[in-house]
Amino acid sequence: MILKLLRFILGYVLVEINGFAPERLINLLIKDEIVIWDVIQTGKGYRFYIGRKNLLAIKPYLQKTNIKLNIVKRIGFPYLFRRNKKRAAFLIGLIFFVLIIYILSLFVWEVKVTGENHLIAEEMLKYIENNYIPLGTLKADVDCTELENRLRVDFKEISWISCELKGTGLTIHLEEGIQPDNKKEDKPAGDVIAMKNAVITKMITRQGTPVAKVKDKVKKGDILISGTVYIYDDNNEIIETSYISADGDIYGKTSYNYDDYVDLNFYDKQYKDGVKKYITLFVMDYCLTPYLPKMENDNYDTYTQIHKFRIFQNFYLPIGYKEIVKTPFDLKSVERTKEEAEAILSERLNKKIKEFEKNGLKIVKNNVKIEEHNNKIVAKGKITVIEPIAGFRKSGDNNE
Amino acid sequence: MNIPEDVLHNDIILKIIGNKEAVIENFKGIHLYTDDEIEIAGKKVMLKISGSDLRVNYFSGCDMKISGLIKSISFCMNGEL
Repeated sequence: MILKLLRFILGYVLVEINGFAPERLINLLIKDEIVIWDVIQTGKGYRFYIGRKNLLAIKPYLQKTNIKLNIVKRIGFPYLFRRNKKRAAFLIGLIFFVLIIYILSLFVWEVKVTGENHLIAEEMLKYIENNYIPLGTLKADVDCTELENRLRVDFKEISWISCELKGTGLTIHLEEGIQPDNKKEDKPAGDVIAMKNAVITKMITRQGTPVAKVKDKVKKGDILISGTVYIYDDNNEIIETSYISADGDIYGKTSYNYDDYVDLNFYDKQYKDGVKKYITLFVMDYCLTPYLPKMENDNYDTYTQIHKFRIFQNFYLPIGYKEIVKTPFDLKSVERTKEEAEAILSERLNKKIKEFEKNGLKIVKNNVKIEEHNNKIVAKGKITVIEPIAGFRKSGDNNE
Repeated sequence: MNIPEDVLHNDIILKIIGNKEAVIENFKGIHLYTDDEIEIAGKKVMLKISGSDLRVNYFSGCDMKISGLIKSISFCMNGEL
């Protein structure tokens, strides 16, 4: 195999010799240690393969033995090169192409984030592109492990993350989840504090000394359950102070300000005919639009779809095209009736209430009022809810 | 003295693999080459290989390889042929 390859690189020829006593020539070649192979006898003489350089070496022998030599076939790289000399431009182009593809393959051209929650995925995608890996970063500069660690710090809601560099694409697989509770065995000593200004409605102490009691008005940061436990002796004197991790469920009444309004006069989009479609080519950040249709309107809704070229599944290139669809519209001043505006506001309020309930908040009082004010319909008031207000603070951590 | 025979007498070395292949070393040249018969000249003796479909795979300065169906191998002294 290696021998064959070597022969191909150096080049060899198939020759046919004929004349009187061709064996004599072969004997001369043998004497001169010139290698020939695949010797076949034809009717008149012999046919064999000989190396390209040896072909010149046997010339004197041919004259000496008076034998004619015909070259039947030229095989190998030198002949191939000579034959294709006219196509040098093509070869240069090919080499250039391979080189460009190779250089492009050294960079990251696509960042993808897969996850259940599209909002987090989108946000993360932007975050990564802005802070860590702008498009066109050298692949060698990307440290997947470090990126994972950084993202884990920056995005608390991630429960599992893995970065994968494949082709020119960086894929981040993630699983969102609520951070597991830090209920470790060695929970640090600390107090339960109030996270909000509230009136306590219910209090269950699991560990620690309760400081506040039900119906107490507490401010944000107040200690509700102290992690300091005193042990008294018979004379009511403290003999020992131990610090534990306070724990308990505390519910409190808190209120939220609600403020929302709807304009009675507003502008509405009136879509028109004459949708413009065109294509823009782009190379990295540079765009080229071969044909830009005339824009007669002032206002357009633009919908852009980006198509990136790629070779294979993961080999993205920084070139591609954008499909742009522009839908013209006119702005038209529209007036709402009071009832319509009120309906919109109450729908929004209901949505907010549902959101509260979904998060485990219990609504006790809702005094949001809807009124007309300066050509606007305003919904304003307070929503009073009962919610968990307990938070944990390590002892010595007093900055909250 | 432990000098190999072939060096001492400058004789042909013949290695045959079954009846399909033969590798010959220390030869001087060839006398005859047809499909049925190949005659190879050594320094002292002549080697005659007969068979069918005989082909020379390669010649180089020191050895050659013959393949085909070998039926017989015989020797004769130089000049007898």
